[in-house]
Amino acid sequence: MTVALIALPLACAVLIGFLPLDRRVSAALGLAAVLAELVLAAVAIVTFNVGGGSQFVTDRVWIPNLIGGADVHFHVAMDGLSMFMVALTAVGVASAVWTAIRAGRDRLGLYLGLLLLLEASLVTLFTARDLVLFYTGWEVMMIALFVLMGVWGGARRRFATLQFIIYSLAGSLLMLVAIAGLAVEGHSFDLGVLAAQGRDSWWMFGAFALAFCIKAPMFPLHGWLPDAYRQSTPEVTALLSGVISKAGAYGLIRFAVPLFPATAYHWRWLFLGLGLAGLLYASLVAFRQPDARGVVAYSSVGQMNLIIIGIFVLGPGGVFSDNGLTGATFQMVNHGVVSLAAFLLIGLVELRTGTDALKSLGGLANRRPVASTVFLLAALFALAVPGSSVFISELYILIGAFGEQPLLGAAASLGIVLAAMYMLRWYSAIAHEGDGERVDATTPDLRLSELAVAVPLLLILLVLSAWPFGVMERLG
Amino acid sequence: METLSWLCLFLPLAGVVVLALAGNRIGREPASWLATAIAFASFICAAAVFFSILGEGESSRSHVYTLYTWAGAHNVHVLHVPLSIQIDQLSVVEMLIVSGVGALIVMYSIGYMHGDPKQRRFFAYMNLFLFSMLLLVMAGNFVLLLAGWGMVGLSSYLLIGFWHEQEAPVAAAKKAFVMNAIGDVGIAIAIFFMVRDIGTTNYQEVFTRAHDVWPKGSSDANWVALLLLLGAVAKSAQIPLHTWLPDAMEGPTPVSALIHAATMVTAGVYLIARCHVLFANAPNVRTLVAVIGVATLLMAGVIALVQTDIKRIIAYSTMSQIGYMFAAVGVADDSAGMFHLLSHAFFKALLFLGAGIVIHALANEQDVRRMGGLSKVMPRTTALMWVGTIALIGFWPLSKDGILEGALHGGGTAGWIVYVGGLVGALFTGIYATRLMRLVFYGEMSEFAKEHLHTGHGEAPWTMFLPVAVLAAGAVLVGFLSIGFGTTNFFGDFLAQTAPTIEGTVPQDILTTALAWGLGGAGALYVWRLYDDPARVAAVRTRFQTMAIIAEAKFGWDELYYNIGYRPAVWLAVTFDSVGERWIIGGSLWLARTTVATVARATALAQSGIVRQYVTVLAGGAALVAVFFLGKANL
Amino acid sequence: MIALTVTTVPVSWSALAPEIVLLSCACVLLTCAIFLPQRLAHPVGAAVAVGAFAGAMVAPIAQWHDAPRTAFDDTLRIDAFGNGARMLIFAAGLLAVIVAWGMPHLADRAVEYHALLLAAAAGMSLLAVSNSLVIAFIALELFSIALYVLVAIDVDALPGLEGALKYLVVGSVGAAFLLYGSALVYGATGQFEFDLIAQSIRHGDAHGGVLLLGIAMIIVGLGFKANSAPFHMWTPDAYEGAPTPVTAFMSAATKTVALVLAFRVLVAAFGEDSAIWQDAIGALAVVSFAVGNLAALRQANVKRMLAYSTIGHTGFLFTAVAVHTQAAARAMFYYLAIYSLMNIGAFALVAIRERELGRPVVIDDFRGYAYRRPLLALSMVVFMLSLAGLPPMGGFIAKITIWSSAVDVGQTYLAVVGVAATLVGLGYYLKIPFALVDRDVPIPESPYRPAFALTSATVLATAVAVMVLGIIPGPLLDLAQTASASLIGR
Repeated sequence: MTVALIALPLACAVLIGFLPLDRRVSAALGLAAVLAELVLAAVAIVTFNVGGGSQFVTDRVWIPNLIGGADVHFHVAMDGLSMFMVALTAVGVASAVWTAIRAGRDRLGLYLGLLLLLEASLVTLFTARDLVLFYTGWEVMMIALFVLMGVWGGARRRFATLQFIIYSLAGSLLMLVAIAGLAVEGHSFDLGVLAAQGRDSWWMFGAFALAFCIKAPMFPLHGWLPDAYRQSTPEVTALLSGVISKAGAYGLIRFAVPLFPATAYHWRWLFLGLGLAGLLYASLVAFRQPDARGVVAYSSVGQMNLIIIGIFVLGPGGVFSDNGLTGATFQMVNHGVVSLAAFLLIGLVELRTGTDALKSLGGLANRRPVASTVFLLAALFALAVPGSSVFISELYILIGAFGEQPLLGAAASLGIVLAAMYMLRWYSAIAHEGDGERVDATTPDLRLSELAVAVPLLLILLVLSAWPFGVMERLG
Repeated sequence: METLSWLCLFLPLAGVVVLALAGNRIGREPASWLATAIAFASFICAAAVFFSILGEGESSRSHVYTLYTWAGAHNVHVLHVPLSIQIDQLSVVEMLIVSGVGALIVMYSIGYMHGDPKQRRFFAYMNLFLFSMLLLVMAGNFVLLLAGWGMVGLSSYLLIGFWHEQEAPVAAAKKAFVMNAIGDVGIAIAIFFMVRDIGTTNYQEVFTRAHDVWPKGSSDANWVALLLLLGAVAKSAQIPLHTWLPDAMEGPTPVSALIHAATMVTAGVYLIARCHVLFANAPNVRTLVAVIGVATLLMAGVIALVQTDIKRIIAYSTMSQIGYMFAAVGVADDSAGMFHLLSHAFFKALLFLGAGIVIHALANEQDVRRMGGLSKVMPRTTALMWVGTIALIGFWPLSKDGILEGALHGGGTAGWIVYVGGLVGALFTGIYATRLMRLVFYGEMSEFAKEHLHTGHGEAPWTMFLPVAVLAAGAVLVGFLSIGFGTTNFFGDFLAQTAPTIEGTVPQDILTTALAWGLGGAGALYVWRLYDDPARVAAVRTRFQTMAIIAEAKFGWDELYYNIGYRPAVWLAVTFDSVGERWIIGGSLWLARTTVATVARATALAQSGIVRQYVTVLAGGAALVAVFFLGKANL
Repeated sequence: MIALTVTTVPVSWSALAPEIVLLSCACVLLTCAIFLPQRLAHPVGAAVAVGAFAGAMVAPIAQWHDAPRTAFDDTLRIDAFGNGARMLIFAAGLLAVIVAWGMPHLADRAVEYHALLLAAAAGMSLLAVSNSLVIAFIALELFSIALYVLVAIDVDALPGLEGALKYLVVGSVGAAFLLYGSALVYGATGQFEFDLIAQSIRHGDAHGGVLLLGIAMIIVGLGFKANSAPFHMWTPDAYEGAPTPVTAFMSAATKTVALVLAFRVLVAAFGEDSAIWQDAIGALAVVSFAVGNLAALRQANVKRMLAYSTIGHTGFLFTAVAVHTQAAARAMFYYLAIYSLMNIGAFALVAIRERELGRPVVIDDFRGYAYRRPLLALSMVVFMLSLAGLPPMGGFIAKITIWSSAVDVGQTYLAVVGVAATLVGLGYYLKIPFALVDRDVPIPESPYRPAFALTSATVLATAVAVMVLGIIPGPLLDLAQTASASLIGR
């Protein structure tokens, strides 16, 4: 199962990316591939045995005796978290591919190929139970992103990409050194084996945490983010904020903390503090951004820091807080879908007006009922309106934080108010009052083909809101 | 009964879904009628539930129904939130008010919103509000309560900003949402306490175990009550989080009637009554509730005296009346508070809808100074407005007296504060209520009114008029529910288990009623005569110069919040954006870039291409290596 | 009175088989050259060279699993370590022959080119198995002189001559250092053979000033050949000036043999003083990291950029030497194999571009190349990613094995510096992939007509190898395991 989830997009990536196919053919192929992947993911979720731990396991020796008697295994498996991250990936890439086809990106074949490569690598790193395999997925993901960003990006794409590359690899290469160290000490690359040994090493933990916190990103390691989010194409930005940022949080949950429980517990306040600072800081900065992307970009920084708080509410011995972790993981799913929707919708605005500067937008809700409703829903989920799934996940995170330290929970709760402030500003600037200078009566409402992306995402969120338990029990 | 309850809750939601999916495939009129029908159906369910509860024994009137597990996990340490409703005397009364008054107002809207391009959307929003409000009052645990709490805020945001083409409604909507979000946070943190100390948020467990985990008067007990109070004041527009309510009048008048008079704004009272156990557990906070109530009712009463916008006058009066309710629950006379909530729902909705008819007739003019003499052209409306005014002043129903009498009987500091403050408030009420009637319906008809009053439009269509009439009837009839001097009364007894009550003695009743009537009547007569002669009005204004200015400045709350709240936040945001993002982070990145670039250039330049230099470098390096080794040697 | 005892040294032909094959072929080639018509020169030369390299390959393969043995009175040590190095050298030579095929300005000096190539290979091969400072020096001079000429073989090209001159001058200084060092060591220990030197150090004074100075000098000499900063200055000029096939051969073979010798001499002869020299080597590694990668950032000429990158890679290889455990030797061997492949591949691609343009290649010449020659461009991406050490390329396995060996002995600082170096390295390695898929270049209606089949095939083959050895490194790692085990026990 898991192998199929990896192999399918990989095969199609090679096919579409390198064969000189006609635009239509590669588009059709790409679409077919991502839809098939969606079906596979859905099957996995349905057949998943709740409370059954890791499932869909494949474990084969890949590189015997890579170093000091430690074999590298092709060891993949899915527990609830991995499964929903894979599902999120499938949803994200599917909507990205559809958006790319509609937007008519040039060199479409290569573009779709890279998106599929990205999907394969993401699925790999979300399901890998072997450090080298995970790292491979991690770096391949980066490589695909570098090209997607550096070739199809905006005017300052080179600069943004290089900055992104340096940031990302500064973290991941140190992580590689730490992996080497782990293998040397633990004589294995297998997550289970190493986690069982429960090592306490500040520099290895630091290396892992750094890599993941850069990707998340945790305040103040988000320097790469504004340029990257502004220079990429909408669908790539959506994936960055929706899926790839989750890879960082996932790494913290799956690797950094379990491998070094004592260390993580010892340093938890560093992350709780920075997480809180980042949440409030980013939420305030989001409130002053001049462009639609900027607002959502910084809002997602804030949300990721909230997730980091939820993760690092640790008990002695690096035990996760039940409510905190449940909230964090569920928030990873929710925020993933929300920011996918938000950035893809911004993309639709840019398609119509050629800008995302708030001052030249406005009035989208006039005479455009569909657009106004869709944007409204997206904004409401983004600000975690009570009753929504996002609200539930935030509530659980904050409950966890409050259990650790009441003041932390209380202070983090202010994020809810700030979120309301910046998201309402965002929505009003786009939708309300008279038409902006780049908007006029001829600016079309959302088309059916565009709803094909937006509506499913919002439907997912509505379903999650109606029955959060359905996901939470599998995540647990 | 269980089915009926769920129907009552989910019918409006179904309405939203249908209207949303139907889009413009369904006509405006059908859409409006559909929404109305759904609201009435929901009311019928509520009524059925009410009667079946009435049929049950005193002790067995509380029911908790669970549909499914909403949030949680199999791990027992994770908070478990069932999708459960608690049907008991308190919630069923609220259900009746919400669905009943709601249905009438939705019906009224058919006429009021007629021809608006976004008519369908309006009715969808109205149904959404009904669902949210019902969720709020029916919820069986605090998380669901908070969900409803936030969603009524959302519906309120949507409906205040309904005419989002203009700037003012949008701004008002945002203000309302954000201030309510502050209240939501309060409730959220209270929930954190519950989860931490009790491990659940279900009403029954929380209320039964509260005493054990939070000893009476302990700091935790106070914190919980205080945080719930924060939520209550935000939602019910009490000091200090009241400033959003007047601005909310930017919304269509039916919205003001439903959300900002009859139902949502009184949710705070419901919350405190619902949590009376927790407030009894924190006596100081409960006193604070009473004090806040009194302060608000006085302040709002004073501001109402000088307002010129007909809707704002009523808005401030709403604020003031809710102040009475807070005062009541603040002195542990919960059922009196609930009863005032009930009667207020009728007469305040009535007043708003009446005002709506007037505004509708006068081409959306809201300034009372440009009205006058309307009683001639719209006598029926005038009559109905009088019913509302009499109820507001407190002649009938006697809900306000009930509060004062309870406070007097309960005694104590809080009791006396409430009693005196309430009586003074009664005077103000008499004045501003009568002033409104006097200015709008009597005296000379203004030029503006003359030219704008569409002939034949004098009275409203029956869809608008009927609900108002029904409300008027309700306002009169509801008074009989609490009749019974000293002895028990129906309403109080019905709520007894869920909302404790204080029954005053007969002399206290008579004294209170006499005082309240006297003061209210005095105020009314005074202002009625005063406006016979404009010169005297001016004179009075000059006499109370300072007071008037303060009142017109609404006691400066908006400015205060602008300066201590909004501006610092913006300043912080700007500082972070410039200093944090651009200088520190951007700067350090720039520094790193330039350093590497410079060093790189230097290294590249070192490669001069001159062999002499190559050999020199080689020899120098060799020398260094040699020195290093010789340093280790023992010569 | 000195008693001279003359002992006849037992001759072991098998030990010298490769060198004999190569040199004899070289001589044959040179002598035949007189009679050969011009048009046949290149085909014949190439054929002979290919044959020679193939033949030379036989002995190492045959002896692969034999236990290490010494020959010629202990002056040679035939072990898998040396034989592995020999194989790499011959493979590099083979590829150099193929890449040179059809290069116009080599065609008219084909005989000399191939003969010198064989001679150089012979010298390197001898160096790889030498167990004595004397033999080492002789072998070193043998291939160095051949290389000096090879660099300048295109006598009409000024850069070639300049590069060769610098290489010659600076090179002889470097060689001198090696010679002085050997002399000093002999003075201190009275021995030339590595194992005997080790013995006498073990019994004598390991911290003698003369001995340590000697080691220092030897390290300088080796560092020169291994393009280690600060002895690297000749590298960019020589690499840029030399005909591209020669550059490819140098970058792969010289690197290999220099590192193999360095590892062998330091471990086998001066193991006692490892505590001292490992820090020196570490320092050189750090300097090489810094100089190579930083300077490369500023280069526009691709060959020059790759020259600096090779200096940077010396940092990684010296990391292995500084660690000098069996794991490190194994990692270094894998690294050298992958490094040779990806460098030769990259230079071969540069050669192709040179022939398309008829002038030196700068990075911008690759802009939009992916839309003209997708497969070649893809190979180039593979090489660059592998040089940068990203998975799933061979360079990644090389990196993680070296770093793990460093962490294992607590020299983590070398790994961390390596990380910094890699970060800077990305700054120039990724320039080429980005240029390849540059969107500002319009897509040509029809891609170039396929050409240079042989060289292109080489490029693709090496690219596939680099990728496959990254995904399935097992076999190569086993070979490296054998090689390293034959040198050091632990």
